[in-house]
Amino acid sequence: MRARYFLFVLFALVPVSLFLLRRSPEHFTEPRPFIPEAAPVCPWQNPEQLLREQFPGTTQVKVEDRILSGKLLEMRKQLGRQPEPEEMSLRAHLVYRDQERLGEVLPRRIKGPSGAIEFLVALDAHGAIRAIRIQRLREPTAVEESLLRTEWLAAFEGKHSAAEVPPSNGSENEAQARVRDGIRAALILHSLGEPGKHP
Amino acid sequence: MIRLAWTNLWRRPLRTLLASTGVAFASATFLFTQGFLAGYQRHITLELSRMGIQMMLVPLGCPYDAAARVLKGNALESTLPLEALTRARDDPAVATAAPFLMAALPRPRENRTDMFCGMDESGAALKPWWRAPAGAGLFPSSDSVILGADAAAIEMRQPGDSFYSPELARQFQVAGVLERNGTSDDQLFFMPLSTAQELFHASNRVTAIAIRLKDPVLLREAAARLGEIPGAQVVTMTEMMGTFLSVLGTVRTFILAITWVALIASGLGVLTVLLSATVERTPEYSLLRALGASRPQVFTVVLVEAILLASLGVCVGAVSASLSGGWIEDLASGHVPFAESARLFQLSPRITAATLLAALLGATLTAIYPAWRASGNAPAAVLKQMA
Repeated sequence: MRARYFLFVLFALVPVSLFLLRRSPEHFTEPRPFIPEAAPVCPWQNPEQLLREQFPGTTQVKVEDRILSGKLLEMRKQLGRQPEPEEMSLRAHLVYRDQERLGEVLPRRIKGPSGAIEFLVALDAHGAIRAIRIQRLREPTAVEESLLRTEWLAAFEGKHSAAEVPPSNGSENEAQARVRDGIRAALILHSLGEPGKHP
Repeated sequence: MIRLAWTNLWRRPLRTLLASTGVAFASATFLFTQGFLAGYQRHITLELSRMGIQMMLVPLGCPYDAAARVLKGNALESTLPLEALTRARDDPAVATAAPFLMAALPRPRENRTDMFCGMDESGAALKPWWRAPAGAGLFPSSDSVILGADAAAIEMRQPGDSFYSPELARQFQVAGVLERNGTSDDQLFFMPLSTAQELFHASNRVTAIAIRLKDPVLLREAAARLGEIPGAQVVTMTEMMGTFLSVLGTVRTFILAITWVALIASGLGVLTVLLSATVERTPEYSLLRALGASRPQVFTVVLVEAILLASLGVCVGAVSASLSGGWIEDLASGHVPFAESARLFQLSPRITAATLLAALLGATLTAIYPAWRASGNAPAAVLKQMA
């Protein structure tokens, strides 16, 4: 009789011990929430053309990334809105003729009505706008023509600061207004990014 | 009768336990291997379905070049007629056949090319990794576009925005933005197939048809049938997996043969136990017969004894397999290709029930001879011999 119970216990112990040795299953992982991505840094396409036009005799172009996230409050105040993730840094292409700094080029990408609009802000050595060039856009023909109009672009030349670039007066189309805001923002970011100017 | 059989079993507990342990081990091995292999095949099938497609119909030419181009999101110079899609969808092995029309629009000033992909709802079904916009349909209207993650980031588009293609002179509405998935889809602009056919002057033409099968096992026969479509050729995306599944099938057959040997061995163990018990209890069965028990009744007692023994073994085996399956899998997980981190073993009720039925059938078969022998004794002769 005892042998029977002993065998029963032995028989029952095998699955129990195996159960205890079993590893617990892995937990399910929740799917990651969708997070909109920031646009990548705007490139400067075909730099030769702008350098030839605006900075003849260029011997060197240096790329400088200015991190502006530490100046968020000032940025918010000057922009008059919450800065975009893309505006937390500014890539400047510093143009040199030998040791002399001729100016810099700020490639910027903004959200246009029908797609991204990329433009270049060419600044002279004193920080005044030398030229604005539309690098890429995705707008209907009429809007494209309005943006590429020489006199409209030329109106920005010589402006030193965002304060000198007046806001859109309502006569411009939406794409022009956005580019104007983009140019103002570029000047603000440039001013904030200048070493020693905004501690 | 059941009570008598049960009592008979426990008259020799050690012998009974040893016999049922044999059945338990054999059935546990059978259950584990079947549960593991079924889980493994299920996992591989799931991996295949995560790939989205198992084969692709492309226009005649170099099939691998064509498949690579389409997978990379590049256009092909030639296209397939839409009849190929109809034939693919009519194939009995095909679960989903999704047409794609790829078109490239170079933008030399920007040093880039816009890649458009025309597709329909079936295309999204083949892309389970898509986190597409929530809503009723994939494309709410004919001028809807869905942007890949990179395309949306570069164009700074969000769902609801407008999107203009100067080359096509067409305004679109962004219906959604895909979450980054690390495939060529990240760079693409997706639009309804009919819109793409209209814009790219490819009426009733498609670049490729991506196909998912109802069962990956049907790959070869489906490929053979679909390869007969004029102007089309089949490129299987799962050649490696196909080879792997073939090897898995061979391994499965081999393991099944081994487990059957174990089950037969345990059946022979039950036969030995029953036979020895029958010989041992010959006087008792003769006495039963002398007291009026019929031959079928004695036969049934032995049969029930065998069934109880087998049932006990299978139950213990099933419990052991379910409890130890994960542990054994952990030991083996490092040696299992393509599924190192997956939990494969799963004891399905179907396999358990099938094992129980097989064991009962086996027990019945093994019990026939001992039962026939026990019931066939002539009571007078045996009692006389005993006297």
